Amino acid sequence: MQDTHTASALLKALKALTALTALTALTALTALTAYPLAGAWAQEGDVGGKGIEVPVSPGQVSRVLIALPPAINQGGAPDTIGLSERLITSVERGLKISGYFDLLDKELLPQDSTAEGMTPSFPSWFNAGAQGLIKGAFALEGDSVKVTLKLFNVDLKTPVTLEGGVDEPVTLSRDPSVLQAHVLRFVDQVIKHYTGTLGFFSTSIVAVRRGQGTKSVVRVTPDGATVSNITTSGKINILPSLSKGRVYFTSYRGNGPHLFLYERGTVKSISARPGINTGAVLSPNGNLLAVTLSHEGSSDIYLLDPSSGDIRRRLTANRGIDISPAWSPDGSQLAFVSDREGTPQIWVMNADGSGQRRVTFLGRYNQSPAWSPKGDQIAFTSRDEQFVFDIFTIDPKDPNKITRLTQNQGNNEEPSWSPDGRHIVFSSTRSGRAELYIMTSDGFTQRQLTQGGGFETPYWGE
Amino acid sequence: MRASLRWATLALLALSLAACGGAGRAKGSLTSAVEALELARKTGCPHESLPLAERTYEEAKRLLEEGKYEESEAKSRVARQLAQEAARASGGQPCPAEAVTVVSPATDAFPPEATAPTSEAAAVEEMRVVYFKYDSAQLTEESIATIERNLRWLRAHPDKQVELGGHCDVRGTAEYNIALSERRADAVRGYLLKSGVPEQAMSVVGYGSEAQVSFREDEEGHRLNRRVEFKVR
Repeated sequence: MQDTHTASALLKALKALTALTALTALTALTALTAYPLAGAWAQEGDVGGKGIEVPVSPGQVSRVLIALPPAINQGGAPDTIGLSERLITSVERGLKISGYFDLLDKELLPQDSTAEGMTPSFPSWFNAGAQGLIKGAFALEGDSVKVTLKLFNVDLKTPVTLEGGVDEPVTLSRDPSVLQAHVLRFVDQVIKHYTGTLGFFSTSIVAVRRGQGTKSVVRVTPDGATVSNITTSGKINILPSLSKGRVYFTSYRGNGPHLFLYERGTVKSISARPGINTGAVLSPNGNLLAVTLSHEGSSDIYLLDPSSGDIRRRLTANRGIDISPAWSPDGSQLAFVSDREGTPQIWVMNADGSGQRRVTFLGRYNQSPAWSPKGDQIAFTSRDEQFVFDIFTIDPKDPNKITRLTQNQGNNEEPSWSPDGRHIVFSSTRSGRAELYIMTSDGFTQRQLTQGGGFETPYWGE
Repeated sequence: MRASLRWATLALLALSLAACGGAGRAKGSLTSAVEALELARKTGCPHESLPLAERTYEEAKRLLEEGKYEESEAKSRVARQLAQEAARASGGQPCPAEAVTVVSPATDAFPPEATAPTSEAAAVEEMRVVYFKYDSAQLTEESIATIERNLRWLRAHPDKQVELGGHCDVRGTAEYNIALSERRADAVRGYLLKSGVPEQAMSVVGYGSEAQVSFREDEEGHRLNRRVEFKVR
């Protein structure tokens, strides 16, 4: 797991100033006003109460420094299955990807911290600089393992009792996925302790992964530890969305881009009309499916019955390209892309197709809208004059409020919000390969989710 | 009116070719070479002749830019022969699992059933690829000349069906590229329709940027990917 935290606030502002395009010039102002503030907050922190509070509003970020020493073997049996390593690695991965924590350098950990057992000697952890401490213990017992994870508040010198009993000792099977699931439940509660809201590890991300001559729809756990295939057809399968356990995707397994639904292990055809059948997303209440079809001419946006694929309503009708529908969280509106005025731009309309209005006016190429779960922002991909792609957010009610979330790190595309709206998953080529990244919704902390390359078009759902 | 415009375009093209003389012939040879290369890149496991063909093509291109038309033409002919040899040698067979391929590891080559059956190989070779400008579906003089060439073959084979497959370069978002590629294929279809090709003889598929022929991330690679392919069925 590579930590790719963005440049410092000052550097960011300077870089933004040097950029020459209209869009970057505008966002430079945003960067100047918002980021120095963020930097100041990150320095100070707020000791007392539960320890460091992590404000989640944009521009106010501080990360908690957690010490994560090696796990303690409490049983008689030697650790022959690498459990200690797996336990600590899983916790570390979860903490890092959440963006709320930094981990104390391994060299700074107190010597022989296992000797103190599960009752920490707080001064040594405090002197090492840790704000929080997570200790893990395990015991191999026949076919099962007993695991204990515990969070301590170093500032207050007290153990923390987490909700849901996740810090109680549990007996688990040796199946690695069972251990991983337990660890992520624990990390979710650690996040809740510090931020007031549960983490995102009970959610799921779908994406596309390139293979040899194929593209598969895959499911990625939000800690990046597991990537599993949803499609196995060995054809081109793309543009997935995930909602209520249903994965809609586009496939060329027939004679064109057709829509399919994957649900509980089975794949079913939803729309195979002539031309384009893409971009299916379920409405928040699950009653309608917004899609792009072109059987009546150029591509337009329609609402379908989510199971039968029958057309319920046509929402757009013009000669331009209308694609990429994205629901507002209350289901009353849709954001979409239209090039009816010459260049692809973000538009918004009511869910009955009325009130169509353009939202983005800067730049010549704005695409892949994603409406935030709080409803106040639309994230999108924008291309600048140098053919570099970056992610921005815009306030649909006030198109002058644009914020840049990525800059000077390869191409960054296809944003999708976490269900709670605190994070965004996106694809980026900053490492030289196409990987998925997760950032906090203000762009302040950005961390790599996947390894191995070939990842595209992530969609975050449940 | 459309027909007269077309004739004017062709006349203009003929004039410019005549005016350039050697330059025109060299450019023509270069185009043939690049088409043979594209076919070779798509045909099964890349043969060892392919990198050689690529290098020879690059030399031909450089010579053309330097105004050495005759040398460029000769190089182009060699590049074309090498590319055809590479395509024949691979026989359309996919690479063995462990083989190191010349193309990038994350290849987007299209599933086998989507490529033309071998019995139609001759017909496919007759069909030229129509190219487009960035983010555009507009037919240029050059692309109209290519369509006219393909049109002659289609008129001579009224029993054949043709799939017009639209494609984009890899830049841009996936869904927009599908729509743009369909728009490109529609533009070619519209031209063919006005030229008398029956509606039922044509189908259109927007492949977006899902079936790249070049994996080079430079201008030349992008140019080769922005295309409409005529696939005879």
